[in-house]
Amino acid sequence: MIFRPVSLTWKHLMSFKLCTQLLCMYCLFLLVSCTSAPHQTSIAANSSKNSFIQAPTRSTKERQARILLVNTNRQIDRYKAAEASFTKTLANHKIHTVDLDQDNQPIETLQDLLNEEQFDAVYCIGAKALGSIDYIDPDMPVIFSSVLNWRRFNAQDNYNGIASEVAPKAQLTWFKYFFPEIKNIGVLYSSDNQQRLQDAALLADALALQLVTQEINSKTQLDNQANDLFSQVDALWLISDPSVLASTDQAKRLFTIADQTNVPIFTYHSFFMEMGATLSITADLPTTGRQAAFMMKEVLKQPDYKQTIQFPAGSSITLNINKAEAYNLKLNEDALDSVDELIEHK
Amino acid sequence: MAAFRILLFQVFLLLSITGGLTYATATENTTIYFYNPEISITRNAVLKNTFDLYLETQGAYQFQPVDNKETFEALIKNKNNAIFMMSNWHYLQLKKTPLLQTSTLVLRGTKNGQDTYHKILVGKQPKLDLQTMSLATSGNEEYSRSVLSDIYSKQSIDQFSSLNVLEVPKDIDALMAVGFGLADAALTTKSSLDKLSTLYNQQNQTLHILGESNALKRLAVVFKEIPQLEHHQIQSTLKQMIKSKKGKRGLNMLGLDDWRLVDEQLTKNKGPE
Repeated sequence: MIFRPVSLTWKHLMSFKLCTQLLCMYCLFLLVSCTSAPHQTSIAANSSKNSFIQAPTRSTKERQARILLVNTNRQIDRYKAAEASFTKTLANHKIHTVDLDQDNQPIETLQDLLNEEQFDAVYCIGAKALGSIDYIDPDMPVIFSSVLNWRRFNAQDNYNGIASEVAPKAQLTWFKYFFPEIKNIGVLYSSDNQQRLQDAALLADALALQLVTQEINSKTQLDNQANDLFSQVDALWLISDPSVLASTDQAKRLFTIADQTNVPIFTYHSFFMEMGATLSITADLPTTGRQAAFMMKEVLKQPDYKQTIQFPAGSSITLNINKAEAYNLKLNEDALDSVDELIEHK
Repeated sequence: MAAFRILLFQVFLLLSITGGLTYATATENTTIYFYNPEISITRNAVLKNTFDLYLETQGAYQFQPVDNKETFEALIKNKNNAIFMMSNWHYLQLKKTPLLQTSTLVLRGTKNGQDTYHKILVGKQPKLDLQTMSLATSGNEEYSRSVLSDIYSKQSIDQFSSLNVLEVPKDIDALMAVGFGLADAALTTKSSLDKLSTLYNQQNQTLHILGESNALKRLAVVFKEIPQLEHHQIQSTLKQMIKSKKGKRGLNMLGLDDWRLVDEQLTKNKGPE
């Protein structure tokens, strides 16, 4: 009994010592964590935008391929659609996705990730994603889609991808399918597209179409040249040309002139439907994602795999049926079973 | 006084019930649910818009495409007084289950007077390795594998186990994918190949028909627990589609040009189910 107060004091002292020790250990742990992974904070802050998808594997014996998927902006429907179909097609692969939306330092984010983890290949959706990866220039296969200036990446050995627009021959086929009586199709182009136009003219010939081409020499002459061309053709095929589509105002002016001269416009992107196009043949992005996934499978099998850029295999078709009627175009009604969006106002 | 109160209460009750019924009849649309694994779901919005434009001129009807098989089957199970438009492939599957027990097959889609069509396998090469080839198809994977099994009915289903299936939105996309070297083969319809042949002679010279399915029935329209009077009205509304511009457009959107009553079909065409 006489030892009791001493024992209590000792116990109190011991518990205080224990607490201090625990506190010290905790501080030490915290310090080590912070110094060993300084960049981890930024990744954690973006954790909702970085995710790992791992579906059940078929074979655990094989080393599972690790794919880095870089999306320019997952909020954009077309990018989201490509990502969804890509990950669904490669459901048995490890895919780490990064969303660069609102990331002002995408190169740093990606460089940190590539330093930290090892990947076998990269899939980039959109220009920001591909541009950032291209800057880092990783020593691994890169696959891309939804990039407007895709031709720039064709020459790089480890780059494979899907073009952003439907193949010219496929576009011409759809034009002829919807409007079988069309014969003369006009095209305005600059010297950048000269070779492509020559190739397209041969394809058009096989469809009993004649391409009537007009090279744009200067922006100031566009109106006159367009007027001249419209007097000779049944429709205008608006292609992705930097001089013809130099500005929104210029594009709008072209649509006005075409409407005044009663010439329908067929184009490569549904964006132009609002400006007054009659028919657009756009790439179907879920299909593009699936094509990228097949390409990825090939690349993972043989990392030095290289083929020319593929054109999209799927199309998304928008038709303004009232405009077609207004321009007296004879529509093949069977073709309506291929329409994805039907516009019924002029 | 008490008797008067009871009478007043009964009148009030009667009015409430009949009022409620009238309201229900006036506001509840009869829905035509649609699911077809042969048509890309990206076209659901355009199908709904086109059909609704026609149906709203005919009465309290609406068209509702469904994105996936599971949801569609849940609707068949849980919804009464509804109409279901589906591929015959799916219809035959469901007929083996209790899901369609209280339903009746009423209409069948037709094109050029025919309620059947053929699927074909087309390739650039006259012979293909079925195990390793890439296949472009507008149907979903389950449906496409089923059609392939039909075409190659004498061979084991394992034959297609490692097939790469590239789903594309349209039959013509599938054909062009082969023509342009993006896939080894396409599963498409005979009529799509004919359409492309008329347009693009050069391309089809290089395409070979590698196999053909048995005759497949076109779209089936099934009525579930629809009262007799309404049954005739809806049946007539669908049958009359061909007579109006909006209705005809709806049919064209589905790749059809008319509907045929199923009992008519039994007498006129004893084709495959």
